[in-house]
Amino acid sequence: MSETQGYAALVAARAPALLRLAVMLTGDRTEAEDLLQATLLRTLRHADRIAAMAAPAAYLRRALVHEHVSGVRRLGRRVRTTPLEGQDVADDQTPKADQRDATWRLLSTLPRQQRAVLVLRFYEDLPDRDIAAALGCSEPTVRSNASRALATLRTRLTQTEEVRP
Amino acid sequence: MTQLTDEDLGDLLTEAFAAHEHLADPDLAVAIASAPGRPRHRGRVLLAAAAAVALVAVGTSYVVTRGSEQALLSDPDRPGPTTVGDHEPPLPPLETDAENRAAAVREADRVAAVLAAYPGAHETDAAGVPELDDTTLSSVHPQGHTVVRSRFWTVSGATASGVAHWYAAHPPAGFRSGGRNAVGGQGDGRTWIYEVDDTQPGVDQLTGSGTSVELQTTNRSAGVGVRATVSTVWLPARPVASFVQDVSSIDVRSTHVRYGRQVGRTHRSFTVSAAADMLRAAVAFNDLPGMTPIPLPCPMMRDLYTDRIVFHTATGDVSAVGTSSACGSGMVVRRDGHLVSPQLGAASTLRDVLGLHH
Repeated sequence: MSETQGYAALVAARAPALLRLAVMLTGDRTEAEDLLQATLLRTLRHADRIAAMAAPAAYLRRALVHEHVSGVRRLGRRVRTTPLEGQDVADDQTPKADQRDATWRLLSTLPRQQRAVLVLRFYEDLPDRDIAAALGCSEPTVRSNASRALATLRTRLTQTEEVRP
Repeated sequence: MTQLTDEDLGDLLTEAFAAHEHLADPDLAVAIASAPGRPRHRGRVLLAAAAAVALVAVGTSYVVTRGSEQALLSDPDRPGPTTVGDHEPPLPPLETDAENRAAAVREADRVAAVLAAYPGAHETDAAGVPELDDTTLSSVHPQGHTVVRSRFWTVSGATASGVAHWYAAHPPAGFRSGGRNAVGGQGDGRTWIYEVDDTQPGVDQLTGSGTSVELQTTNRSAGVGVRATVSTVWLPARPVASFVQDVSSIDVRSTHVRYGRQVGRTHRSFTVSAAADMLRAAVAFNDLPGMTPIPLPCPMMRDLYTDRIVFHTATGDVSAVGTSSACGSGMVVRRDGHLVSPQLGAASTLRDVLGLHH
């Protein structure tokens, strides 16, 4: 298998996980698909080098996060679509369902870097060291962003709860 | 609202992320990955059509074996889905709801036919013992998943209590009644109905399949009225989509919340990648039965376990999210984010295999 073929197989295998990560980062199905597309376009030129890496999956994840957080991607704003959510998760009748949904909505109000930290920590289960590597920042910056993001969510969740009739 | 701790927020975030994984269509992801150099068109049809060509070079054919886009992705020049070769684990025999229900009908009829009658009892129909109509039944079974058969008798020269104790001492073969303390009852202030429940050992009467018998007796103006009600619960069949084969890894996240004066949380997260362990887990998962809806609420929840198990397979991801408490456990299955009914029961066997001893 050539390295180009290796890259193709790699991205095909990792694509579902990358798209899930993109959904968590963007909060939007369409934006996530665009983000994945843009990331793969950007990494394609380094296909041979990526395929030869010891940890190519981590590289792709880092590229995706960087693509999102850096805001380099400028595919043009389009009408934002809102997927009809809820039915697929309607079976989940945990007492925290309302809080969980509110949390998901409030994630969209966070700065991209802060949201990325939360996604990498609580969705990808990455340690701060790896989060820092993915974001290209220091570990203290990761902790600082996480702390601010959680504080913001805490405040806004409380406000949401208080205004509910 | 109480102040949320960082850990609370972490749990909420984990749940929120898990609940929205279905937004990521894995088929589309593979299609995007297979055609990164092409302009991305809005709409799945165009994108899928472009991907159909690119997939030839990539050589990932498994995506075409499933999903609604199969026709869109078909390409005469591309190898078809692999249908030969060994898949591990082999799929268990597939069931259907109709077959399961038919089996329950046979079992309920069989048990009803062999019910013992109190010596000297005279069999009648429902109209012959109107005091023991359906509203008096105490047993609760899953709606829509229970086959019910009833028989009625009248007895002269005996008391309802005496007849009930006789039935408690003579459960049908394969059942047990609870012995001397088996006789219970209910009353409305005017009449009293004695009750004996016969159950099959080892069967979870709340959520599992199986047959139970509820015996009722009541004193009448002349003699005793007797009703025997056989209830057989049948389990919903699992569709092919809810099984896993050819697992490449398993991601496990488990949270244990213990309520009380101090709420305690324990998190575990790990990946199973050893071939033997993956196969054992896959076999255990495929052996889980479908689960009927739990008809009763669970008022006391001191411990709550939430497990999220994701099987990464050659044909996509299958996730099983389960909660278990003192009242039972069930797992919600999703394939590539899409809900696959029914829920699965008896999930403790899978947890044991994965080392999630609760």
